[in-house]
Amino acid sequence: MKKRKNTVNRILEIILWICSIVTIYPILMVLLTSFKSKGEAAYLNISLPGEWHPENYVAVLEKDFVRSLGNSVFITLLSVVLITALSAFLSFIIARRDTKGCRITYKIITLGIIAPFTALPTIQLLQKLGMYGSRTGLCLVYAALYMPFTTMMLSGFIKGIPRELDEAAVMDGAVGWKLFVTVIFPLLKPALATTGVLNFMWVWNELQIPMYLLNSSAKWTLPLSVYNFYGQFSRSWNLVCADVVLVSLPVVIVYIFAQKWVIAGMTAGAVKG
Amino acid sequence: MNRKKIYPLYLAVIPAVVFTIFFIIPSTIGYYYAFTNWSAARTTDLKFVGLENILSVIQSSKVPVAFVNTLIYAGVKTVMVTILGFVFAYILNREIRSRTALRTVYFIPSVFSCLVVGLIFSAVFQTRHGTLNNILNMFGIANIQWLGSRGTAVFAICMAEVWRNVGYAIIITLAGMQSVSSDYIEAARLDGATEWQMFSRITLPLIMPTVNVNILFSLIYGLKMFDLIYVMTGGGPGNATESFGTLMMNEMSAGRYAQSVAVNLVFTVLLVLVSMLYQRFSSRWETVE
Repeated sequence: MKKRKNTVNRILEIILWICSIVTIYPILMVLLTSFKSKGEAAYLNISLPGEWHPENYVAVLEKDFVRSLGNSVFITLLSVVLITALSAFLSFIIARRDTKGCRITYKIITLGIIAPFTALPTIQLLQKLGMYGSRTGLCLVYAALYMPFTTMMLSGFIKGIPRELDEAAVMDGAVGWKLFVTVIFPLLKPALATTGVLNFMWVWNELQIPMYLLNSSAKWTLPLSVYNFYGQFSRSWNLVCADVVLVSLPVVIVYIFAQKWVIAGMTAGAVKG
Repeated sequence: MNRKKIYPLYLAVIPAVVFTIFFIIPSTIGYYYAFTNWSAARTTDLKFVGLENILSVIQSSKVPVAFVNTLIYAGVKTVMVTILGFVFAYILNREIRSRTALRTVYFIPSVFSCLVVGLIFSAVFQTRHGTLNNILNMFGIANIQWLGSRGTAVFAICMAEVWRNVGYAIIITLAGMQSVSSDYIEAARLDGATEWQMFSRITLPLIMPTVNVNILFSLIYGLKMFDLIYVMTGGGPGNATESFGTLMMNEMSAGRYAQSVAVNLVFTVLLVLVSMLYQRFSSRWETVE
């Protein structure tokens, strides 16, 4: 009986590895194509390059890649800090104060997960505020757009922290901001790391919103510059693939180092709802 | 001390203000503009035109096409991702040696941006020398113009989206399955339950809340799909693969501002309806067990 089960598991394992070809094949194709000559790259297959061309990467790096990378890093970091800080304060008050007003606010905020991004009026508003096309303006819009999900997750975590801890700190005179820093923040760190990593990946990868809100190419983020690059060089798959590899590298690295938090966060988010 | 003093509102003021200014106000203004004659040519002196824009976008062929496509994208993605996620998670939950490696391999595509996945699949579905056609050629099948007609292009976009999202579903479902206490399974085994009974009576009901939230998010993000379509087809050929997201973008680029926000209004109604309906139904499934 036990033996039969082992055989079944072996077979299933092999089937899973065969299915994973669907995942691996396109990625391998992109990696190999990025090292080919333009002519060879047009075939989009997984044969090894006849001649390796690492200079494809140099060509891509020379095309404003570094400037876009700088923009992406600045926008992503500022946005993640804003989203995390604002959502943490809001969740703290919503979860603990727990008045009728707080519950209504929570309902309105969660609607933000469902409602779509309204591009035109947002552009108009940013123009009125003198922030259209600025990186800071974009970061504030990200803060508003990603706050709902983060607030939902964080308030769930805060509700799980026993109120007795708050009461003990209040005895010692810690109220409001001080209570948050001394009691809630240390316990919230893992949750903050999780939402931080998730928001990092989402903001980093976003194409639609910067496309609407950044008008000059000097401020473009990486996905925007890659999209534009593809428009210019759609016949040179070797360069496009090198660009794809370079733009994906940061998220893949972050994922590898932060895998634990990403998975913990996704499952916690799904369980809590 | 009273609760209002311990948790003062001032901490929530800045977040609430940012959310109001950068989300609530633009959305509300947008819904209002849907009832005016706003356009690239006319940005001041707007006239209230009632339901004209909404009726005109619904009656033109654009919204019905985008409506059907959006439902197909979200529906196909959600169904396929949920089923595949379930099957793979169930297998990975057995005693399999290379579990961690397999889990990582399946998750990798979920790390990529829609833009990157769109570019990869533009290469895969390219007609001349495209990766998929290369493979089909080996079996003697002639080149197919995947992105050239509505049926195959919608299919191609769905496949790219499923490819990107299966990893998420596997990991969440697997975590749900692993959180099911082995005591229940053992007890059932002692009572002589079959594998299928253990799955359908214990595992499934216990992970249903996880799966439900997962499905809801998959639906919402599926309905909001934009980047992938924009990169792979731009909504074309014609407007055959348009979703609500790309339709709004294309209407705006054409200067038809009021029509663009009218599409947004119709889209919001659809999103709210779908999530309300799903929550209604899913809560019923949960109480059955």
